[in-house]
Amino acid sequence: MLQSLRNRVLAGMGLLLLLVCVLAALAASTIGSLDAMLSRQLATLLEVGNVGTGLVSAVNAQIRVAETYMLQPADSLRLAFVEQGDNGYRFINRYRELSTLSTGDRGTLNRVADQQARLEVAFSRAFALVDLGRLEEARAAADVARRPAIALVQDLQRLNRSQQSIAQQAQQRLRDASASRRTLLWVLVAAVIAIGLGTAYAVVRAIDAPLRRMVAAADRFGAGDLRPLDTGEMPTELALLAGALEAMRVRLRALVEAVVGESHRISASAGDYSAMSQELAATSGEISTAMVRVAESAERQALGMRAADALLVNAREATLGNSTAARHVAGIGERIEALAAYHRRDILTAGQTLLAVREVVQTSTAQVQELVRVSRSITEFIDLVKQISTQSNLLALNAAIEAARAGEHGRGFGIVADELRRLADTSAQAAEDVERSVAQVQERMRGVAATMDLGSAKVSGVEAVAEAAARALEEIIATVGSVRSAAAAVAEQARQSEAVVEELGARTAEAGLAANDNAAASEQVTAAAEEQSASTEEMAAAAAELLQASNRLGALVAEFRI
Amino acid sequence: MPHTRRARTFALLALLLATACSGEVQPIRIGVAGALSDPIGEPMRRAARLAVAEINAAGGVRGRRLELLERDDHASPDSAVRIAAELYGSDVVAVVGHLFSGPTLAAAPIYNSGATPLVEISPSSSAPEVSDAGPYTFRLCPSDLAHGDALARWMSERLELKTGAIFYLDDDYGRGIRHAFTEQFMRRGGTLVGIEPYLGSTPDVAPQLDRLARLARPQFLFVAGNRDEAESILREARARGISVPLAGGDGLEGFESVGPLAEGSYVSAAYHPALNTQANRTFVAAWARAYPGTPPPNQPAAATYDAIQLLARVIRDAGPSRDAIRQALADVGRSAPPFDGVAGRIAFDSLGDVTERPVFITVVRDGQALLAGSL
Repeated sequence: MLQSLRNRVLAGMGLLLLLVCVLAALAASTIGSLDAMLSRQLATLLEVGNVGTGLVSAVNAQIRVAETYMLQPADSLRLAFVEQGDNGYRFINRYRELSTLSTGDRGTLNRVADQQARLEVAFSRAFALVDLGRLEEARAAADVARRPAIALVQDLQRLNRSQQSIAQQAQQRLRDASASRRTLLWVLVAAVIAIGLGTAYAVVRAIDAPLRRMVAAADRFGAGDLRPLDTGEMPTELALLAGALEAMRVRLRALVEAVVGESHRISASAGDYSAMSQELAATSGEISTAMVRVAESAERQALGMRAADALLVNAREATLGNSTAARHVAGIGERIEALAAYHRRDILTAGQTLLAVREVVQTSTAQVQELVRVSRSITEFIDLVKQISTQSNLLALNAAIEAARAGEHGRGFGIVADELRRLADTSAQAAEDVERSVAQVQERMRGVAATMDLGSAKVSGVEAVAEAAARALEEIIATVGSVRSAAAAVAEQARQSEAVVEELGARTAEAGLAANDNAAASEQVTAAAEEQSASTEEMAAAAAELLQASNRLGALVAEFRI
Repeated sequence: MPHTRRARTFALLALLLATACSGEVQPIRIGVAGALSDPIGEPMRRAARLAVAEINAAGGVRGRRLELLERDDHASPDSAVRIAAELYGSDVVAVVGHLFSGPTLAAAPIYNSGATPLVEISPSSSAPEVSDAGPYTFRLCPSDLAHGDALARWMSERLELKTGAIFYLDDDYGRGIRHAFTEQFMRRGGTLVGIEPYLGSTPDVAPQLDRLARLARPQFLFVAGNRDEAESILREARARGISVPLAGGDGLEGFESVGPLAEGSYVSAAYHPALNTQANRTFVAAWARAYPGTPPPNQPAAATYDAIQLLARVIRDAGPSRDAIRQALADVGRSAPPFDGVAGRIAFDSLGDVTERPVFITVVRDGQALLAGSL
């Protein structure tokens, strides 16, 4: 009830008002009662005065009438004497009705009435004696009448004195009553002032202490300390304010908690991201390195192929039957070259679009796998070359025997056969070199593939570029398929010697082209890997920045105590 | 308020126990104050005792006996004041008294004041001032105004007398009846050749009588006083050859007993023992049994008897508290039924005066106060 400041003020003011009302009522009643007392006293005094004066004057008048009659008798004076007597008698009765009379006063009054009666009786006798002419007796009777008159006046004086003392007593009572009421009024005035001051003090205190507590609480919240705080008992109005403060604190605290949680999560993610980026960067470096080697190997393979191709050109020149097949092979080679160039551009374009590291990695993985498969095809092809060179060697040996058997005519052929044999040996050797290189490449590819697998396990998606790359490589595969069928045709021709050589040349060229493709793909991969590496570095830098930012954030929110 | 009720129950039990131990219920006490040793006042005492005896014989009031506290004021206002103070402070619940107007008026302020005012029922105070004496002052007789008025009309109308002389007792009673008579008689064209005051029971009014005998010659004498004074005055008058009839108010009651001197005198009365009502016959018979050899009851006796019986009825109805008695008395003849007393029907007006009471005029013939008429 008195929790509310308003109610406290109202209660205080109400009490004050009540007291003021009591004060006013008391003052009014005091004035009223004093007024009533005063008017009663005044009325009594007035009546006492009136009655006393009336009685005295009536008695005096009666005596005057009597004395007059004694000198000059008249019937009218007799009646006047009776009337004055009745008048005095009425005053005596009015006197008797006064409330202030004591028993003694009543006795005096009875004596007054008695004296008046004696006076009247004596004068009545005197009048009769005057009428009868017995003047001496009349004078004596009048003297008798004057004695009660004197006694009567004395009694009246006594009565008036008594009434005066009663009036004085009444005055004293009035004074006492007013004094006691005045004291009471002063006490009440003091009480009113005390209660007013008390109320004011209580209200000020009720506002001041809670306000101080709330200011302290607000300061604490400002300093970042958002732990719960008890602001203690306070009036309803200030309790509302405290409630608002508390609600503010709770919401602020929830907000800060959320920020801290988020910053922790970002920090953790940034850490993960940073680590991953570093790992990715490292992997990309490895891929780059591997790809450089692949490219070098492919270069060397291509050189080998070109050497084989040169030998095969020589063989084609020597063998007319082989020329058609060789041309065919060359045509196919041109197409492949054109296709390869086209696709290289295509892939380059695709490579440019590979902005995201993940896509590059994925594509790289697919490409590496494809490369492995291609390498495997090359190995098979090299086996075939080795087979062909063995057969060629055997053929050259047979040709040399046949040339020796032919004698002079066969000498030129024998030289060709020798050259053929040497070519076969050289190609076998080249094939072995290629095989070795390919094996090396495959070995590295597997390493790359493994790395790529690791990378691709962490990344996913990125379809478009991968498809473009896959499509390009499918084209290559198809081209390689054509090469393979062309090579089959060469093999068919080779069985009829000339064709074989041309086929061999074509195959060699094809192999060279494939090696070129291989080298290009390797370059592509290298470029992609480099790009990836650059991206991952950027990423790592961003991750580091993120980590730094999240660390700053963490430091910032750590200032809050929640 | 169970506590209060318990306390009240306890007090009641204690009271019952106390009264049981004392052997009987506390009596209800009534004061009787007047000139009880005066020839006129003595029948008042007898009548009061007779009434109380009858009431107690019938079982008392509310199971309690009535008891009288008798005080003689000797017709003196001073004594009346003292007695009033004494009775006021006692346990009496009402006072029958005082007998004469002077003492009644002197005592009335005491009875009517204070915290526990006390009812006084005067049997015979006929002074006009008694009407205004206070709410606790009642009387059972017509006022002097009625007596004076009736006598003045009797003298001027019935007897057609024009000139009279008045001797009045110079007190409240005498003044009252004199004033009423004078006013009515003079209004009817009468002349008063003497209005003479006197004091004492054997007044010395010789000079006035000499004057009347020699100079004024009235047709009648009117004595506004009491029986003894009237007798003295009449004797002196007759001695001086004044043979005119004498008239007087109820103060002259029993004047017939004066003897031949009183023959032909007119006396007004508020009561006459010959009043032929059942209540009066019973009362007169009871009186004769109780007080054989005494004169028949006079007006004070009849009014005192009625006052006691009236108080008994009122206490029976309203209880023995002073205030309740006053209230119930004031209601008699107004909201409560009137009381049929031996002196006639009692019904009070707002001033405590009995209303509609006729004034009887008696004439003394052969030593008997005969009913001459009523006004």
